[in-house]
Amino acid sequence: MSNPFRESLLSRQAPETCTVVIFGATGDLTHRKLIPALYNLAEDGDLPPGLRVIGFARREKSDEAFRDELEKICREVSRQGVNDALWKNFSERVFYHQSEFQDEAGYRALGARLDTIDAESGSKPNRLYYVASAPEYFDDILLNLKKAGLSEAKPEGWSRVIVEKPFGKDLKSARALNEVVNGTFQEKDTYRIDHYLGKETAQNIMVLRFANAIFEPLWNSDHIDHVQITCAEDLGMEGGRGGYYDSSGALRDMVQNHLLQLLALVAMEPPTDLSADGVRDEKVKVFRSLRPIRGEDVAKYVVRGQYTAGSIKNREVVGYRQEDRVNPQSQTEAYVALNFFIDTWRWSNVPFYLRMGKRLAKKGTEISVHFKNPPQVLFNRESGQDDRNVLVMRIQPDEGISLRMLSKLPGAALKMEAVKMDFHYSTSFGKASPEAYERLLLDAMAGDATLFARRDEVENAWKFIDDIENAWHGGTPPPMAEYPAGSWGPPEADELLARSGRVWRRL
Amino acid sequence: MSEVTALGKEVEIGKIASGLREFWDAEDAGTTRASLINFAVYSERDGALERNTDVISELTREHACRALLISARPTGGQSSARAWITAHCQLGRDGKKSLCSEQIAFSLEGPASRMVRNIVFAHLESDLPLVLWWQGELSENFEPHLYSMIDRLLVDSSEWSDPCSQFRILAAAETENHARFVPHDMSWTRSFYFRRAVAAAFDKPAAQACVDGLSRIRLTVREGHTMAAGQLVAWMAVQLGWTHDGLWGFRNGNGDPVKVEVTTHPVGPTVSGLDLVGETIRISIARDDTVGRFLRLRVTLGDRESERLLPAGGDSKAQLINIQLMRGGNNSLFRKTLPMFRRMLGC
Repeated sequence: MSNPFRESLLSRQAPETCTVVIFGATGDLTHRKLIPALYNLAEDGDLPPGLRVIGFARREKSDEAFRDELEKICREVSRQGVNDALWKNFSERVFYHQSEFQDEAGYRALGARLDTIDAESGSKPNRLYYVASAPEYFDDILLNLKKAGLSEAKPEGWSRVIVEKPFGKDLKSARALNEVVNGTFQEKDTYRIDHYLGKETAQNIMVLRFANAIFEPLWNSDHIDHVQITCAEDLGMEGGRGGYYDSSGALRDMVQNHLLQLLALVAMEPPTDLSADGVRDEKVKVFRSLRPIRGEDVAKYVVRGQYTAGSIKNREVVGYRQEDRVNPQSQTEAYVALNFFIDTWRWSNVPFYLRMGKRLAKKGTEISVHFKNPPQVLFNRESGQDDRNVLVMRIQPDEGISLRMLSKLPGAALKMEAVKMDFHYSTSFGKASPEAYERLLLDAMAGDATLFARRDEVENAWKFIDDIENAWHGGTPPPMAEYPAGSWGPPEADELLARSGRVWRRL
Repeated sequence: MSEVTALGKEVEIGKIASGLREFWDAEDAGTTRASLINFAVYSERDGALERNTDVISELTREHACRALLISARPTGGQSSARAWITAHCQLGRDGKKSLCSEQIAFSLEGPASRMVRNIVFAHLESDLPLVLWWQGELSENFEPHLYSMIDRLLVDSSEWSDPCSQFRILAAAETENHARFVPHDMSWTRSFYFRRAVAAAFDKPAAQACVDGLSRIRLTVREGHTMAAGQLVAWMAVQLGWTHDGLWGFRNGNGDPVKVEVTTHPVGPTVSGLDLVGETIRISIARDDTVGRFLRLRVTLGDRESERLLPAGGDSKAQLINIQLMRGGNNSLFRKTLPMFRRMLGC
């Protein structure tokens, strides 16, 4: 039986009522992202009716105290503010469950609580488990869910799990984690969250490529010279992040997940349909086609670096090794740049350049597609300048798309200058987009895994990353380059492109 | 000719384009001209240009457009065509840029009022869709040469003295003259949030099991808005497969009569309350503006009651148009519902 009134009122799969259990409920992610996301869904009328939230964490706390804490932060960060009546209505369905992550009895008690909630509300026994705890507790949480019988769907209901990154710290641990996850939940019920996929601009990459006729015919090695992906952050280790970051580094923290996902969207073949597996099948093919960078090649094709003291927005900042909770002898990279290739018919011999760094000159994430030079005839015979067209997809901030092209300068002489056709979300669409987590949570409740990473995506991405990490931690690791905070990275990264006559795009 | 009024700066019809260029050349670097659609408003009433300027000012907060306001007064006598240009500017979401939507207002009198397409539509922004809001009755000016250019047509059936004949005109445009516009009726949009709330009430399977037994609908609307009430009822009838049993009479899935009651109030929101009663279910949806702009949805199923707040939306013309523009699409549900509604009107 379906709802006869939903026709045309929803332009997406309908999310189903469920109970969301958040493990790690006292953490930042819950307070600053998950609860505000659920609240804003309620404010927009998109939250399924009767949805309940149970925060599962170790500290002692009452329901009321938990709700008060959530409200305080939600009022600060919610994109639509907080309406008193709606918050009351929403928070009455938010509860707290105290237990250690390793305590089996705590999970059995959770199970009893879930059954009571379902019985009282007459809802289907749908459960969405969100593992938002520190990674070291993932195994405990998943295994205890299984032991308590909570990972198995009840009759007429479903049980799904959302797992936050990091999905392991290398291929071996990712596989081990995936074994635990898939030993607890079926792959179809597993949602590995990568919030970049929930961004409007990331979703727009597929629309740009496949809803417009003009791009696909050019989207290949015949017309594209190279592709750049840049993720620049001006932040350092604020908020005590140094301890976690120093055990991870730029390659594992950002490249393995967010940036490779963006790469997959740019490089994938058109899917046969827009089903979750239809799209993800094509993304996996990109990862499997990445030409490995191993051994001595790592020094040639990968640059890693750390920032030294410098100045950001007119403020003096310390170097990476002087940051709070960072080992003064740290060999963890806060910057990485790669030159790699995708060995497919479409991308044969097209270099891809990817860079990610902390404490760079400004914040910005973008993908730029640099087309080949036009034939050096007619107007380009003696131009002596970079005549390439460049399509830029700005992921954040100033979300939008621009196309660089040459135009004649007004005047009697035939002179040309680069101009930009520009589309900005902020000036085109008055309404602000939902936050990424809002979209992703709704998708998980609707059973749509398109915007979540599949097991083989994660493992193939780790395979590529592991080769580089192995070289860095092997017998003769390549040197760690340095760059002053507030610059655009080490000169060695510029050399990655310069040796083939290319330059990083200036953001 | 250079007088500045509430409509902006008056310009000669033939110098609108250059007038706009001068305007933008004079603006500072922090201003951006923004436009995603051509939004035209047609009216044959007094004072429409000024009233619609206020509506456009509100609308452009969310929808950057080139607005074309048309006042057509076929009052006979001398032919007169006058135009004014202005812009509606908002601060961008980044708080830095001022985003401006252009407005061109036209006053066409006498024979000039028949030349809407020639005079007005020469100033459309190319490549952008044309949304035309036709205020009041569809007059002689609503003819194939004009509406062949429209991508979306907005009307308000609550303003029609003879809805049947007006709907006939719309139907003829589609079937006889192959008009390709997507029709939107504000009466339909007025019930949008209530329809969402009804849908939300029936998301639970236990509630879905009760649909065939629904036997009573009570609606509360503001005077003059029974069209919104009727279209909401028609939607329910179509979606539930009710049998039409004369005007506002229906039989439900069990073959039992469905009683429809509409209460009107002189003031208040256009739709303020909806009650649905069945054998084992009772649904109450009411606007609750004391807590912000929300609908309070109460579902009583057997001995279980649940309550939640859902967004209510606004009632102003700009807010209704905003809903229509945000949703886009072919308005297929309205088109599906319309035949039933016309039967309810006895058309």
